[in-house]
Amino acid sequence: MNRLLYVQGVPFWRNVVVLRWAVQIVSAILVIAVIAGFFGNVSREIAARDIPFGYGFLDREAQIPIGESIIGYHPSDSFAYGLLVAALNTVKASVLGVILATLLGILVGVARLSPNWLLNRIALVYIEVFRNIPLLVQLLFWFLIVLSLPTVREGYVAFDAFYLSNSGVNLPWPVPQDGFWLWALVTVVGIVVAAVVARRLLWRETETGKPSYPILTGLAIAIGVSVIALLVLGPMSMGIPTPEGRFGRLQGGAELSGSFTALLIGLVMYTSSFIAEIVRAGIQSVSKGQTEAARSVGMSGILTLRHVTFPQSLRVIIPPTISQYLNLTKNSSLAAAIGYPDLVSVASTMTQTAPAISLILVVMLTYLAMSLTYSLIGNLYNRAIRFKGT
Amino acid sequence: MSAAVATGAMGRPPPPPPMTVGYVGWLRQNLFSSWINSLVTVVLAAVLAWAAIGLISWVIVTADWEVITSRVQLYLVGLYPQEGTWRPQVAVLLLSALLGVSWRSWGGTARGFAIGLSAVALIVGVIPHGLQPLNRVLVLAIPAAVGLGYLVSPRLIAGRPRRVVAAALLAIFVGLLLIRGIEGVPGLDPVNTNTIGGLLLNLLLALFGIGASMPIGIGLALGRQSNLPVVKWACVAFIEIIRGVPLITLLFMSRHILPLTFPENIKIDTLYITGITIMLFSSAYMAENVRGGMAAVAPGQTEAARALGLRGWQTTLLITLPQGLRNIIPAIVGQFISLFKDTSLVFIIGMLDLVEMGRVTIQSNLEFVDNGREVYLFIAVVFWIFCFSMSYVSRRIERALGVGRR
Amino acid sequence: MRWKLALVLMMVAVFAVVIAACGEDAEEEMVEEEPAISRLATVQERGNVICASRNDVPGYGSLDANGRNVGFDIDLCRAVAAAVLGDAEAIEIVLITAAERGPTIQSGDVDLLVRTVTWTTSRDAGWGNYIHTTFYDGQGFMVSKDLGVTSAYELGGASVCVTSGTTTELNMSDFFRQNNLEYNPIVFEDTDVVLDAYQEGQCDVFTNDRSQLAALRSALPNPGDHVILPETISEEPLGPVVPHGDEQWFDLVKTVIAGIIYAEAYGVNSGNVSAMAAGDNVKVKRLLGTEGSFGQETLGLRETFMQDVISSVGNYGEIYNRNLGPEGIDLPREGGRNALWANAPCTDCPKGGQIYAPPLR
Repeated sequence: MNRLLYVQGVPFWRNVVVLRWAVQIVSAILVIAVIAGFFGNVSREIAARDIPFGYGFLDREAQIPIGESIIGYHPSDSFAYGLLVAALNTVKASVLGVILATLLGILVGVARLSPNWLLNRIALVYIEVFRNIPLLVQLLFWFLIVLSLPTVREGYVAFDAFYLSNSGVNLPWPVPQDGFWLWALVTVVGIVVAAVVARRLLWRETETGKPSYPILTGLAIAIGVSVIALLVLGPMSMGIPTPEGRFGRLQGGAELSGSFTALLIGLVMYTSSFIAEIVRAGIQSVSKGQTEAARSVGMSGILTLRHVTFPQSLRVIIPPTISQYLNLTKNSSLAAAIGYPDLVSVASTMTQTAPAISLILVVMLTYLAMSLTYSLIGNLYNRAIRFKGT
Repeated sequence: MSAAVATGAMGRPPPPPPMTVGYVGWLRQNLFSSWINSLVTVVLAAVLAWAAIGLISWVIVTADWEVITSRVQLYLVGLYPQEGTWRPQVAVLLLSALLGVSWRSWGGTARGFAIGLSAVALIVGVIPHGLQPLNRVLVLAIPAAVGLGYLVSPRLIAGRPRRVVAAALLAIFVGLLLIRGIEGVPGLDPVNTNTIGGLLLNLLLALFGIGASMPIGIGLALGRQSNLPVVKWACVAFIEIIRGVPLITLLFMSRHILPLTFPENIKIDTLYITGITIMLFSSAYMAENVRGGMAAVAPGQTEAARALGLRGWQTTLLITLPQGLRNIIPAIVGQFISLFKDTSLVFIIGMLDLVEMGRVTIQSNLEFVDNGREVYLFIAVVFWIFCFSMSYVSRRIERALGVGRR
Repeated sequence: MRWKLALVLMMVAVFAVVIAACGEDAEEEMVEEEPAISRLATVQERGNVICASRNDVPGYGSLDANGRNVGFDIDLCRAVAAAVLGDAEAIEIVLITAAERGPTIQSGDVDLLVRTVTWTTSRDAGWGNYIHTTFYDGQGFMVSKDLGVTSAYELGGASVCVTSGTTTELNMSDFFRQNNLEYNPIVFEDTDVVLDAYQEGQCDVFTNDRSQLAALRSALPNPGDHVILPETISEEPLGPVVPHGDEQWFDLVKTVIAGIIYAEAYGVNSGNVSAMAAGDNVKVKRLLGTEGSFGQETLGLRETFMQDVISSVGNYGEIYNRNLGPEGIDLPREGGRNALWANAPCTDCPKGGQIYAPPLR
């Protein structure tokens, strides 16, 4: 008799603890073996077939053109810096797109519930048109629309400072001067002070019942401090777009290029049609009794929506909306088709002089980081409203 | 708009006075209920009319549709051999017959689609635009197939609706075989998979992606809930990585990495690489859908199963999963729609789907260089028809299942 | 405590199995790698030649109304298929984007890369072996006439449109940097969008290889409204590439390309090939395999493979005329670099250029 195999009279193949451990270990080994096998095979083949791979290129001179950058770029900058510029371009499209798509989505979603038949139907048509056509086609369409504006030399001008043409929108934009950082510091301090004061007032209001206007006071302090500092320090001058040279291209100020404008419109229209449906479903998910109760205590329709229906529907709305934000970010990778230098577009240019597989890996990691950030924000928000609710 | 919302939240007004019923009453109530509502109505109507007139006049007068009409076949089936085009058409006939069966059995939506399809087929079949005689006959046969399906419907079902599902699966399988071809059968030579393109490619990839991702997605969803940490985290990592990166980067990677995992002298077709990638991509989303569906199963179900003495895995497999899957049918249709649209990204690895075929047509023929608008409008309409009808069906199913109403 | 011992034993056993399995795997693969199969044999067994190319540029590689791949690059692929398999239709075109050219040829999954690839030294070292220059191009700029620009050096401050993933982009960047000119690059993936952006004036300048600029200009509604500036800012020798690592295949493709150029120089074309094969010109007869040899056997080709190539695809001049010449996008050849060398033996052919073949003997 082999007593080794028995624990307290139970054979080991029926011992729950052993079984659980065994399954864990076997599954771990299997998973690791599959992953290791895959990567081992791929890396061996990469070496065997002399496929270039590696990251030595990152600090070499990139030498490629990048049309737009929020932090400045010159072809003599490194590949790493070029990738950063491109990633920031993607972030710019993603963040602006998320904000605008949310606003437009809420608007259309609410319009979808409007008693005005025409408005209601138009919202429906909007949703059904924009979410049922591939984004790539929509982007090309919006790009053609932007192109049909007049050229920069014949474009629309307002006050010699605002320009609209098929090269995009140009606006005056402040340029930081010497005192900028000091001003920024003062403003931040002002906001902190305002927050402390507002909290204090809010506490007083809830404790004593005296109306103390915490939000108004807080805002007044923050804005007041910032404006006074602005006037005293003069940290910024206004950059005004002016046409220059034979081609009349605009220099100075801020530019939303034609490609970026088309990309933004396309992303926002596409994503907002999904968000609108989410918002509609969310509002409808709030039970009718809530609305009726609010009405019976004398709240007007808009107040009911603002204070009763919408806050409750947020719990249904937020999770799918976050995944729409992820989609928007990933969809911005189609920018290359209409000439906006996003991460994918720049990386594909870089494949001329750098290993393609390494580049695409960097691109994937960057998107992954952005997606996880959005997920994280969403989860935090979700947790926050869940705590308040209980 | 705020006023519009306000009245909406107020609920329905008390029983109608005489002026609020009938045609005028409808108008008053829905379009001109207050001055701001009337203003919204008038402005919107004006904008709408202006846009519609502009679009219609462009479509009829300005646009030059030769870029579409001269190469319909390329848009529909890509470079599929001309002498074999009857094969996808027969597959379409099979599906039309199924539609006829559904019409007789369930009416409603299926009837609308069956009549619409037959009408379109008749129009396309009659208008002369260089269709080969065989192809024309097969187009004209679509209404006949619908009718045949309608006629055999009672006999086929014979009180057992499951037979329809079996018939549908069989039709899809036979259709795929026809399109791919069978080795050694005269007239059914296997086609080079790289020649499949156009709309056919979009549909095949989306169908394959959704079908193949179902088991993997269920596996991943179960794995994600597993109490084995390694399995759980492997599944979570897979799902989050796939969901976190754009499909075009995945396609690029798999085109260049997947072949490395096979021996050097085995060449895998780009179509299969694309199919595998889309399947993996889709399964991550499917996993999340399945998880959501299972989470929506009432906890009482699990408790009841436990009370009956079912084990953990039995509860999952026999109680939670089937009910969860029923919950997510609309979500699966939604995923199919987005997957169908996403198949327009396969251009990145050189596949000629409908969108890419359009762009290639413009670019590779100097005489069409200015016809981009026509091509994109055509593509948009084709995609829209498919996606919209699917989302319409999905809503009907949702209503029939009563999801969210229990 | 005993179950822990059992556990350890089990773990050891599982590890042993896994390791053994891995070891077996590795051994098997080592054996498999031993016999190097020549690409020629692979192609002959497979029954077609796989070429990576494109279908979006008229003249070089495009789709005709029936969905057939046509173009200069495609015809070079057909010529190789005709030489190796005797059937010019036995080709498979793998469509790739510009960014994919490197990885595709490096992986060795295709037999030939013919996709308007510029021959550069780093690509020759890193990607694959360049065969021969089959077309000489150079990058230029096209601008609208009413801007009054007459030289590329006046382009400071302009917005420049370009397609992505090609040397065009890098050359443009170099040119503006070298000459200290400010400019605003707009990079597009596809030519149709670039052309739209240029036509609508979003960008002032369109830069591309001169041959493609000329072709696209001719397709614009008013070609006369656009000028191609005189400066050529780069050398763009285009030609086919084969994967590294198979010298026989490299030499074979080189010989086929040399053969079609040689055929034009000696007046052999698809119309007269059988007559010439029976004629009395020794050089022509050697080319067509009816007298002597020029290495067919070493390359693993049939004696008369050039007859198949010429009769089905034609000589260099015929390929050029069909795609890039009068029947194609109408680029002049006479007097340009893509004419035959100055003292080519033919009488009625464009000469004075750089298209040259080594002697076939």
